[in-house]
Amino acid sequence: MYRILLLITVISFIYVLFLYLRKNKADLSGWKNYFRLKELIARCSRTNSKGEQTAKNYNLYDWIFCGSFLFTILSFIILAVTGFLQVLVTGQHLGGILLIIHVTIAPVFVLSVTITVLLMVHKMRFNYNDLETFKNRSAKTWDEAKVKLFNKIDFWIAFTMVIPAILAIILMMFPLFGTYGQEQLLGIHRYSTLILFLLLQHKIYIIAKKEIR
Amino acid sequence: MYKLSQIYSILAVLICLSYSGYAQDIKVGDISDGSRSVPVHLIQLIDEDSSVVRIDDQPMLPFSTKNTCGKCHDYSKIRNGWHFTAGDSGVVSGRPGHPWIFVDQASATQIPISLHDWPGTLKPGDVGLTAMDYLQLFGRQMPGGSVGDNDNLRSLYNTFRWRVSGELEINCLSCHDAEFSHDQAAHAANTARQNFRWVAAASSGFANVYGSARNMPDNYDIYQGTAPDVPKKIAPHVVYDLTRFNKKNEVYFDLVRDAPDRNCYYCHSLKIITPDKQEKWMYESDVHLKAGLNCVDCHRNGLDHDMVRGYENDMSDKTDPLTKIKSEFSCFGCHMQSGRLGAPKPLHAGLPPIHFEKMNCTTCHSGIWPDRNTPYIKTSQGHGLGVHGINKSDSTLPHISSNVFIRNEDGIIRPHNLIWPSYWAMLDSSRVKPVSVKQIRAYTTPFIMNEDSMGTGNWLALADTQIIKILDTLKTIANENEKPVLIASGKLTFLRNDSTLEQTNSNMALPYSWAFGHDVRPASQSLGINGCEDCHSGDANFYYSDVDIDSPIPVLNVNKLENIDFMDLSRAGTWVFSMSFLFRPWLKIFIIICTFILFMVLLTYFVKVLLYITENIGQ
Repeated sequence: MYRILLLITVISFIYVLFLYLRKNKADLSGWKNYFRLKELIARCSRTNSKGEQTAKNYNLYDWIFCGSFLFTILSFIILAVTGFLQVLVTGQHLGGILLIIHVTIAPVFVLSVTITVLLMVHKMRFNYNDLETFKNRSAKTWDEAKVKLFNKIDFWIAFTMVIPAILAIILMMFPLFGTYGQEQLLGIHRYSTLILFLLLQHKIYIIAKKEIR
Repeated sequence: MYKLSQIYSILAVLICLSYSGYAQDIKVGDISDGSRSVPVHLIQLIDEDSSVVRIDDQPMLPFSTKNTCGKCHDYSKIRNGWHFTAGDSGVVSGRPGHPWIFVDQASATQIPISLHDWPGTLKPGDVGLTAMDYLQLFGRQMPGGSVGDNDNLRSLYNTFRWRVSGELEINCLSCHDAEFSHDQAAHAANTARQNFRWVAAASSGFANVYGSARNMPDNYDIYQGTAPDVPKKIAPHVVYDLTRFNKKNEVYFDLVRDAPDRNCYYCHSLKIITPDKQEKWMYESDVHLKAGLNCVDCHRNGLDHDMVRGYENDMSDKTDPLTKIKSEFSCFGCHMQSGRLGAPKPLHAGLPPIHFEKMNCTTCHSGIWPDRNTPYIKTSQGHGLGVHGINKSDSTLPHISSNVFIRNEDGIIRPHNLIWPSYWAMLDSSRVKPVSVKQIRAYTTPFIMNEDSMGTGNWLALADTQIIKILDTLKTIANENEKPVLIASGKLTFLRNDSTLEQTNSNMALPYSWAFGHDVRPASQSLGINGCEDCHSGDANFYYSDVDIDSPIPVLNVNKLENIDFMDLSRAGTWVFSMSFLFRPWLKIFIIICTFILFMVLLTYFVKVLLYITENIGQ
């Protein structure tokens, strides 16, 4: 079941990428901009409640934030590739070199996601503007406000999912749960990370939509 | 008037009916009325000529199990059982098991031999052994059948000899005789003396067999019983305990349906050669036996005697209608599925599920706890344990290493016993043809003159000069395209043109290994009981236990391997993964702290939402 869901998710991920590339005639400049530190800072940090940028210079906070965000995304992609590949191809549990990479990268992800959350969480709280945007969510245009709202929704779902994903694996390392419990914990880890992967996909979709419009 | 064709048709139908009636004849002992009591076997002894053995017969002939037991039980059906079909055509060999091992210290020979199609073993004929040689050597721990009573597996070469020795019928008493005076060692002694037809009587508690068919000429007549006029050569004959016969010439057999463990142990015992297992009291036997089970509680069979071997896929390659029931009698079947015999379902707390994909139950629970050096074991089938007059030295050949953890073709790591073959052979392009083990001594004896004066039974270490001389001599019997070689230590050793030795790796010299299931250790003594570090550490014996490359000759560079070399694993990857367990406690703490922070942040905002709702709910 999980394998089928994973397969569908991966196919849809490829489709989203294809969608973006087709609309932009394979021009990747938008992506390049998105992952530039300046762009990142401009997008994500030091903005007031109206979304106006307030910081002029990039200080330690900005660098930490950008670094942690990038590490979070990169480490998650590596974790997703190493975690999903074996399950997708052989249907077996993760093992061998993929497992070694997976468990090596996992602490980096945990640390970076914690820092990112701490630095982003206040900015990602919902406000009255979001409520108005939410009421007009069916509008076909993808303006800043709508993108921001969906970013916030994605953030909170990801935040909620990342805790069971980590906790399940940590609990598996203690002699608390038997074979059945271990399988359930692994299931929690797998499905919560699958949701995280879907959120990453949604994030790309939003970026794609925004660039297109 | 009937036409001729109609008569033929009627005759054909009658023949078919009579044949089918005969084929479906169920013998009285083969159908149960449901009683769980053990029937008393007070029966007449019947010899191989279907005559009742009477107290006043002269000479009294040995009873035949085929006729005595076969009177009430379908011998032909029983004959299809696992223990009796080695070498028969169409028999599924199943997972490689314990081979017979031909050992000759004087010619540096140690060869795994089997009539089953087990890769890595040689057939008796490949090494120059006839069916009779095979039985004389290995019949000691065979319960009969196989080549013993299968004409198709014998050559015409020694037809008259077979008339003297008789057939080695299935010795039902080997397993089912519960009499304490049952002597399986007598079975062994008499197979070695070619007294095949006397074997069952010899092992029983009411007869003794004297003499040796091996010493009799090919024209010896068992009915006349006339021995050649040669001193110390006694004709084979049986002497019954006449007090056991009643007036009807019946004898009481103490037979049981379920074979007692002690009978199984005669052929399935092992001794571990380690300092802390020197005496019997130092051993724990299998945890199941200590819990009160018997071997046959799991290794079950019906009338067909197609015994459950007990490994996971034992039944997958059989067309047995009872496959489903039989497949329940494995570790997994009892402990994870059926719960038969009160098998507890293991908790395996903290054990990641991947272990069940990569390993077998036996990996953690069977054999001996892995030590720095993988020890040798002595087994009944390998060393003739329990047979009178064997060399009891711990170093005696064959050398069987155990436990060696090996990844099988299905990708699962299991504990194995392992033996390195050693023999002289002729290499013909890509094929190796062993030199007959009956001939080889003629070529080795002049050069291997070392004496085992201490009776160690160990290899007589071969020097290069000796090997060169033997290989040189073997050239005299080599064909044009053949090259004499010594297969040992996993390599082919042969002579260069300049008469120096060269060794190359060869698949033909690879060790033979077979997975095993027993003895099973309890959960408290299984791998992992002390934590992940039992296996996942930089020097864990599970991966890094030394395995000797056993050989009579010094090996070029390496004479040891490690368990990991048999696991098809990356050394670097395994080491890195093992090292990660050093930091794992810190990693756990670190991740728990991070998770706690994340959780508290989430909780804080959740509380904020609740506060907002409760503050504004009235407005």
